[in-house]
Amino acid sequence: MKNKKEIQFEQLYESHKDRIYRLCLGFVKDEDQSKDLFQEILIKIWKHLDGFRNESEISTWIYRIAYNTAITFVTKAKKINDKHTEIPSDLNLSDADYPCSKVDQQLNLLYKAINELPELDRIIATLLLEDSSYRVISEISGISENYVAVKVNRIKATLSKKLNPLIHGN
Amino acid sequence: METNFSDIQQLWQSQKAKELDLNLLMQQMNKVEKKQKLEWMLALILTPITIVFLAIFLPLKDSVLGSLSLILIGLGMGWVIYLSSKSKLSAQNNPEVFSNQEFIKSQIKKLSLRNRIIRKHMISYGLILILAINLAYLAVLEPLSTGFRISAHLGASLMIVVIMLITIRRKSKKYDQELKPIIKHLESLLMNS
Repeated sequence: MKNKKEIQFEQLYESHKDRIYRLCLGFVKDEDQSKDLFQEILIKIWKHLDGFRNESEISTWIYRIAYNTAITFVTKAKKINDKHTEIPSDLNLSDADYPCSKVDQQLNLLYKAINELPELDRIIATLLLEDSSYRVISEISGISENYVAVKVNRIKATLSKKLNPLIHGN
Repeated sequence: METNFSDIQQLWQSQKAKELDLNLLMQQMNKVEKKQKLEWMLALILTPITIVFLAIFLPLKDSVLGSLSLILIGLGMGWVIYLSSKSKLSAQNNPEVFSNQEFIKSQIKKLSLRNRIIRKHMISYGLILILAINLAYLAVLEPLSTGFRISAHLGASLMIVVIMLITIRRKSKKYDQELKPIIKHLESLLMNS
């Protein structure tokens, strides 16, 4: 029989798994790494679940864990990549080799565009794509709401430009 | 046709998570938690047991120097436990406590503490250990010849110095190769925000 913690964890998993998974795809380039990050975030949530005190909304609490874990994960992954691989950064491994649906292609383009943003902008972009308010973005990222607003405009413009290359002349 | 931002949002939200075996994951996490608790309990129990063992089975407690040696060893071990628990149990390990900017700052602080432990605290611990062992030798080796006692003091001190130097050098190299680049990257994240 499942204990209280396991039941609570299962409920949190069901209500937040898609958002966390998308966040992972926005932060790391390949699917295997995103699965590792997904699992690492779940482990952190499990580990700290006993310490949740209802001082903030559960989704904000989860996002803080998720984003802070993602930053640490990306930093470590970057170090390993710098050390072990010499693959040119502009190497194109995408669509031509792996035919997929139009939606998948657009999604890949979107992940690539988010991945190319600086880390803080990635946090803001992924929260924005989840319809989070400026207040929540500010709470999670640690920057002021005004600065969030400035960043949001730039991020929206950058993403739209990257996803509409013909219109914007890219 | 141009994709506007709400289309991008819809596209983004269409991605669903890949299923994973949650029961297996919870089972593994429960196991890890139990193991970590056991290790922590063992470390807490073993320290006083070691001190009691030294006090009972070595002829140290009968002399002032021997007692001083036991106290120093006890303090040294307590200090190591304190430093290790400070790094493991502090709020810096709780990603939910901080906003992202604060979390990055706390991680830099935490990684820098490791550097201080290697380069500063380990030397202090080595010196305490040398002092404690020499005090114990003064008490235990009293009936033996002066030549033998001097060799024992020098030999033990030299051995600790060599072990400490090798350990510090190895750990410092590892720190420079693995943790320093992480700190630099984290600092660059703060600067670019």
